Amino acid sequence: MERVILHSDCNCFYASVEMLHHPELAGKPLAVGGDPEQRHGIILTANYIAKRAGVKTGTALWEARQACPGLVIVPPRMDLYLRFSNLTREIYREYSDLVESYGLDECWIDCTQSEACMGNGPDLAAEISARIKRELGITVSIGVSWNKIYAKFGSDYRKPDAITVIDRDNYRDIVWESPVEDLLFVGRATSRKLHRFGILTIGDLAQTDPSLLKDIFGKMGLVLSAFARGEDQTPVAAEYSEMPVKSIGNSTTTPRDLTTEQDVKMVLYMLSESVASRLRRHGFVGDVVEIYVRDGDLSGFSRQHKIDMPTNISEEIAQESMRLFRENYNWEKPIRSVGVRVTHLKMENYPYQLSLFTDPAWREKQLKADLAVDEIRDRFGFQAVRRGLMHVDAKLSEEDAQTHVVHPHGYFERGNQTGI
Amino acid sequence: MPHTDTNISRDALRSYGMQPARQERRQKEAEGERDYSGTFRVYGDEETANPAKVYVDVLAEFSKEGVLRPCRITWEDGRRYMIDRVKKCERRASRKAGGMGLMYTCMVGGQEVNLFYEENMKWFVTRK
Repeated sequence: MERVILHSDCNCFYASVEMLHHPELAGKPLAVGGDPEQRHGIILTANYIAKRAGVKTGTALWEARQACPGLVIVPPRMDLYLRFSNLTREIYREYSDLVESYGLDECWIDCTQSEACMGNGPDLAAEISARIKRELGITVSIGVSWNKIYAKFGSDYRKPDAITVIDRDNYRDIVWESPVEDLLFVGRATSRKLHRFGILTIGDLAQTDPSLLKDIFGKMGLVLSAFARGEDQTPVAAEYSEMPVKSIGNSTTTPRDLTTEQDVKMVLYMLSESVASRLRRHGFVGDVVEIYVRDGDLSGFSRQHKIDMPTNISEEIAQESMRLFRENYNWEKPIRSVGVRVTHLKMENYPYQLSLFTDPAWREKQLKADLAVDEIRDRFGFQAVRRGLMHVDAKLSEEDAQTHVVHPHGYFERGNQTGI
Repeated sequence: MPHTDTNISRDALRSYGMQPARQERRQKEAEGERDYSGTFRVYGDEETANPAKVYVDVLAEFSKEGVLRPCRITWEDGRRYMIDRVKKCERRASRKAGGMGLMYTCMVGGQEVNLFYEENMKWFVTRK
């Protein structure tokens, strides 16, 4: 029996939430953008009026202003968007327990079992769409199909406020006629390669011999072929199904360029504190430390190293990060952003080999200090206690890295369940 | 390594080995051609830019079953009105007021009033 899968996508999510809260701006171009003083001055999203004028996500605020004079830019309010996102999920959950989010504004809903008692796919999509409009004041595009890939294609197909059903009768007309870039997982690089082989539409891709695709792309070629033919078997994950966390990291774009080692040390320590605290909160230790450095030209690199003993101690992570940095950066240009990541995670009480080189008493003391800092910060706020180093440049180190945690989702984060 | 300041000469940029297009952009930025005038607004919690949304003082009751019910509302003129009856409570967005929350349809002095709880400890009504 075929599945019935909905993909619901909130239109211009942040902008729509802001438009609802600013009726005085109705009919005007609006964009949500970061704070240029903190050097987060880019457009996060814009409403349709602004988009039509050429405002694009990722462009600088002043560029957007040039493209669209009269553009109103408002700062982002993540807590508000999170609230709206959670409320959309609550609505979806009334129709199925297989509700899988893909970012704040997208969700797959498997309604196969719900059909029996609640109504068929398109009817449920209409009901959900109407409810979101009435109860939350924003619009969604919904795609209905028998697999996740086509369902997502459907929600992208028409915006805003639309429902697109892709069934066995019309998929060749709708999906196969579309350019290959519209398929999930076909980005710039993949589509360039496909174009070179004369594969321009999804239909071309679907009708290409899978073994040729395997020769070009490896296993991913077979996966793409299945996606194009609507044969993806990936299930919609049940809600509250935990993802195994593979790594914990933090990165930041600093309010000013970093030009000295001390600058970098401050920021790396700040990030390491955040990463260490999150590791401890989830009960992990890790033994690979990775840093990411990006310079003023926005070109970056990452370096990683396996350390002696798995750790969740901020001092150890910071020291290793500094060492990796010193050995791999020769200061050709000032630095714009850095990141610290810990991978190869293990449970805290996982038995591990003691190292000959680290003093267990010192580690114990460091860990105790970290735990004490955690507790103070929980009770009195992030700024209540800080390393002396941070006071050298308060502005650089004032950010609480933990308030900007975003959890990116990958389609394959639970492993390859496509059936290929 | 010199501190990057806002006046970067073309030569300095070239010496960093930056590509021309980005160079142009950086140059423009450095020369202050960015124009933020009048478009970047920072809204406070009050959201006072929208006159149709009126936050009101509300006296409400929390029952031991966890039900929140508004009992008395204070209008802008300072007068207080008892809420005789709550007809229903449903989640709604008010495009006119510019907000979203739990809409309590209340009977106040024989008239139906829609009172929104915005779930941020604040209640609002729509000005007609």
